Amino acid sequence: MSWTKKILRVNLTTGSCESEPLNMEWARQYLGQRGLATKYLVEETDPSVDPLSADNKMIFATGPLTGTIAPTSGRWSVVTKGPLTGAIACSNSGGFFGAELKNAGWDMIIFEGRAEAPVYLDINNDQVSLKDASQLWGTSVWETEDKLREIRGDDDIRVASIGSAGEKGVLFAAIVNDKDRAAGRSGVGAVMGSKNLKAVAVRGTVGVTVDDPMGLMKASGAAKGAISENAVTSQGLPTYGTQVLMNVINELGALPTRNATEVQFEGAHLVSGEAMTEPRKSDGEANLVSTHACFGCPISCGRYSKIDPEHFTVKGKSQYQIVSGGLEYENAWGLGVATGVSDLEALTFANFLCNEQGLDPITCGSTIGAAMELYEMGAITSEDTNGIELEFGSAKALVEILEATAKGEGFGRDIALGSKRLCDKYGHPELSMTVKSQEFPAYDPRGIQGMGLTYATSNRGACHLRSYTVSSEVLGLPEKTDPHTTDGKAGLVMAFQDVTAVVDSSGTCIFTTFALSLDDIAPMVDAACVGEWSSESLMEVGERIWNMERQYNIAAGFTGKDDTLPERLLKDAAKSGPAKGRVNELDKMLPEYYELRGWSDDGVPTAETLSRLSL
Amino acid sequence: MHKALLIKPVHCTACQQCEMACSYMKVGAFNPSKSAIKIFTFDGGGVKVPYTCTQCNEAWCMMVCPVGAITLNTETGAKVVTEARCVGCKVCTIACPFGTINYNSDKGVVTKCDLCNGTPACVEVCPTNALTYVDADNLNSDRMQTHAEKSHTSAGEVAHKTL
Amino acid sequence: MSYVIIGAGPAGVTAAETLRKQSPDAKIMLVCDHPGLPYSRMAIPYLLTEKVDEQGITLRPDESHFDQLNITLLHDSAAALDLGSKTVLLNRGEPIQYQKLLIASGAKPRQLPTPGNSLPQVQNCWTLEDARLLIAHLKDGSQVVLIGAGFIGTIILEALIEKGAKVTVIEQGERIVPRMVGPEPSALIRNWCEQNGVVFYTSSVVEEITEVEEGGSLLVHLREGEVIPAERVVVATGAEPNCSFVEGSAIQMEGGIVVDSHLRSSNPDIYAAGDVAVAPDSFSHQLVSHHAIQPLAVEQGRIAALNMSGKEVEYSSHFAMNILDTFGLITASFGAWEGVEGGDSVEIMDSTHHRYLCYQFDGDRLVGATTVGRSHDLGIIKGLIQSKASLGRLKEKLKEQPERLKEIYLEWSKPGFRI
Repeated sequence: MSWTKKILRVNLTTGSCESEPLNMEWARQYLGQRGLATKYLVEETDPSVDPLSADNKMIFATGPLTGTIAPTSGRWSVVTKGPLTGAIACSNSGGFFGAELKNAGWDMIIFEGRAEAPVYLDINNDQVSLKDASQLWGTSVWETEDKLREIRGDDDIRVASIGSAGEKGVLFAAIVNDKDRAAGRSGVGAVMGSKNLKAVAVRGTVGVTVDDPMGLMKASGAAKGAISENAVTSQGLPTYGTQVLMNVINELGALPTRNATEVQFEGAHLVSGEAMTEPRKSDGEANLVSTHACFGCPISCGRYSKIDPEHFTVKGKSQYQIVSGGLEYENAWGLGVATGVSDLEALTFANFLCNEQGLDPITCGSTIGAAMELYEMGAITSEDTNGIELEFGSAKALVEILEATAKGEGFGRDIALGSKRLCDKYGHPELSMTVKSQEFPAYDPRGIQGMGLTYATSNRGACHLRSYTVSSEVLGLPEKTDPHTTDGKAGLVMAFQDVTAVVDSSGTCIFTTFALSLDDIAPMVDAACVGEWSSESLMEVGERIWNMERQYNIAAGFTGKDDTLPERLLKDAAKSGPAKGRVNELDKMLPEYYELRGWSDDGVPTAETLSRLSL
Repeated sequence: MHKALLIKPVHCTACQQCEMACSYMKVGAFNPSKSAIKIFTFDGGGVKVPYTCTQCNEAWCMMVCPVGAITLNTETGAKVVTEARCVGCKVCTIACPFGTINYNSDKGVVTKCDLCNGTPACVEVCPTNALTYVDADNLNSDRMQTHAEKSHTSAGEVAHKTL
Repeated sequence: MSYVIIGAGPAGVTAAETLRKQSPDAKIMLVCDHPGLPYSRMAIPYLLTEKVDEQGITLRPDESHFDQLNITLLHDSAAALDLGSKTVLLNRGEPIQYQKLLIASGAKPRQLPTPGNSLPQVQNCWTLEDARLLIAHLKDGSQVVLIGAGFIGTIILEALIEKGAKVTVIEQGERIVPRMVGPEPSALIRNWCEQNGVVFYTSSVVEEITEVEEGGSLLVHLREGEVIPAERVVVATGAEPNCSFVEGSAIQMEGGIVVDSHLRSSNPDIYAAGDVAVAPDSFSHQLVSHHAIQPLAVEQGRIAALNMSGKEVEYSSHFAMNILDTFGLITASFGAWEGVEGGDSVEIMDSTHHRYLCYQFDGDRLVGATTVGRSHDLGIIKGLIQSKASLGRLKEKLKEQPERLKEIYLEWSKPGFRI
């Protein structure tokens, strides 16, 4: 009930695929998806493991609400040790793959070992087998999905796969499902590639049952009602997608521009959600074709776009003159703002490429931004870049370097390392906009103080989705806080982190939390799952998950010293906008955060804290 | 006056809430593969069309059933499968020109939309009002009927409509 | 007005109901050649497997259905027609007069022209009586020889296996279900059935059936020399129109009663519907009766009745459609599945998954199809064939991506859907 109570264990070395019962005691402590998969990883692997070795494991996990009628029930996660960061990696995705996996009767797939030759995992309910993928290896995510549909003779299968980026070990390779949804961050696609696993194809027709279906219908109905009454979830996101933020964050002076040298982008309005809906001068069509929801989602923030067929990026290339996954805010930011490129069509193409070849557009864009800064300062030259003139604002350079990165060619091989290793290599470590080697995304902590603490303490390296305080500091949800002050941000970040850990473990999407609190989510979990679930008990689950992840990272070699931000954010004041003159005051927030967490001064959970959380 | 499902594809986001609710009514589990309403997506996802039975007047499925397992609910106008009577011969699935009655191999019977006895679950859960349940004389619902007529282009069918 | 309908199969029953709807006061007499309520031959396999009981195969579940509609159900059969006096002579009762007559007397199984064909252990599986006989003699492990692997033979195959019988199938033709699908899908179905324990002999002719001992087990002798032991032999070698009572009358016959586009015979007061009627096929334009196809029988019954009651309604969609379930493998074929002269086609064969798909086109119209291994959205194929619609550029799209029929269908019907 709600959990299928079945795990699929796939040993890629031996080729075995075994079903085993889900550990229900752990399910009660860690709920599912992010929390539960991390528990399995913690129990089954050595945190010092080389992420790209056969000894690392990779877990595909659904949550108890995945595949149910709860709103946004399409979520699933990939949990492993991340090759970009060396920290715990948990990359969430939406689309339809997760719900299909659940419908096939599986809570999780645990991948172990490494296949000798490329394989894909074929799942048809309880019929599971590893199959030869030699004819898929070398093909893109898009081709792989199409070919698998052909091979299976079934249009209804759902696929998660890697493109050339994952195959070639690009450290920010993503796992892409349903052609345009991605478990994007921390290089989980490189782990998949290192295991010689090209794809997972699944068809599920078993169905998902829950403990109290009428109760879940009722609680879900209430939640959907709240979502339909909230301006962000019922207007902003459906109308403009996540791109609704582009102009908002720019006006706030919190849009990290050209490798965070500035906090406002003069071209923001050209690449915004609004711009996507306007008729193009060239052909009179809008970039945006339609909106799209993930499985079970009433918000529908997804975008489908079509590039002007005459644009230089796609002219003569019919395979890109199609409708496909359009720009999300983070992608438009990474590929565009971080690089200074304001050509909407070029960014859409770059986004297509990221989906097609399985790249994380945040790290990818930020790394290209760093490379552009290195180029402009002369630390790298056109000799290093094989003639690509890596100047800020060049759409041509962006597309060329992106293609080279996906293919693992030329200077693309340096970009494939991520900005931390790239900047180290060329002698300017300070130009990498990373925390724990992972690039931060589209919110500048000089303009939104809470996001500084969010990035610094995120367990998977810099990330906005571990505690999205933008919700409070910018959108005023659930209540407005001042983005320029550090007061109360430690508590805010902690609370958001724990709630997010719950949502990420439930099978639903963090975007619901604009409209829902744990008091709205708990009744859905309680109805779906056996046992008693309240917002209090869920909050404890969230805190337990956060501390477990922290413990994993400590065991993997991280310390409190890693809870920091790039110097640029701490020392170089914002040059314009409402936050002009400000830096991020992390030092004012971090000690309070440790204290609230029940951690020592150097960021280690105390014995008391661990015992309180039964860790 | 009967009510009818009014489908507005432009509002559909392909979230499949309708399929989940429908399958729950049909098989007691959230299982889109068992839903009587299906969302078709095409043009690379750019177009989404929820699709289900239009409860056409002289329903082929009802007429051809060799054991009288499909009957008219006079209150809702729905053509309803009596599962206990259905033998699973599937002849209705090849007779319906819309493909909206399908075989469920798990249960050994056919499944179609029965309007949930007057409170369609798909309508209840649709977050975008792509699905609504309206008076059948609503102008827009005639568009579905127009389509139905287009599929019945034989002269016999045209006469059929005029009866 | 006084209507007489000979035959209480799907065509006859539908006609009777349609007539009643049209003429509340008319006298309607339905001549039923078996005792009890009209039942469905299509449902007999499910009676064999005990999925339903005898009540479960009646065409109309409500016992008082015909009484309520004031339709007289006369348990008798036609012996001859007197066109001059508009009279039907019956085998048992008094002759009955009609103003309009519908002949819907169906088909009867073709008899095996083989020595031993009348042994009591050799039977058809055509009527309810046959089914009762078969049920009484089937035991778990019974050895059954099924002669004929046409559509009707094959639909009882699964029922026999499910009842625990060991079944050997003898087919005279080169392949099984030859009039429903082409060689490739036929081979797929055969392979699938073999995996489920069925033994087939194709291109094989039964020369003689002998008894090992009187009333005991049998030996089925094939022309090719094999001798197959059997406890029971079921004959399903096809059907022929059941209209000997029409012979000798002035009604035009050509392998059945020839009807015009209003299902009227050469006699203006006599109509025919169902297996007994022959009409030009929608695509081959040959005069044919597509036997044992419920949707056609029902449609013909309905349209014949409308014409009998004075409506001018044309019958124009005369093409075969069949669906077959063999051990969970579902096969369907429609219309000109073999193709038409000058037409073209697209085909996908996937023997690994026992899947097959073929569309036949005449110009830009879909005229026929075969599917194996799929059970969803089949009706769309029928709808497209029946509509005789020009697909225009969508035809090429369908040829490129035959699996995307739903999309193409919706694109074709877009004006109705893009609200």
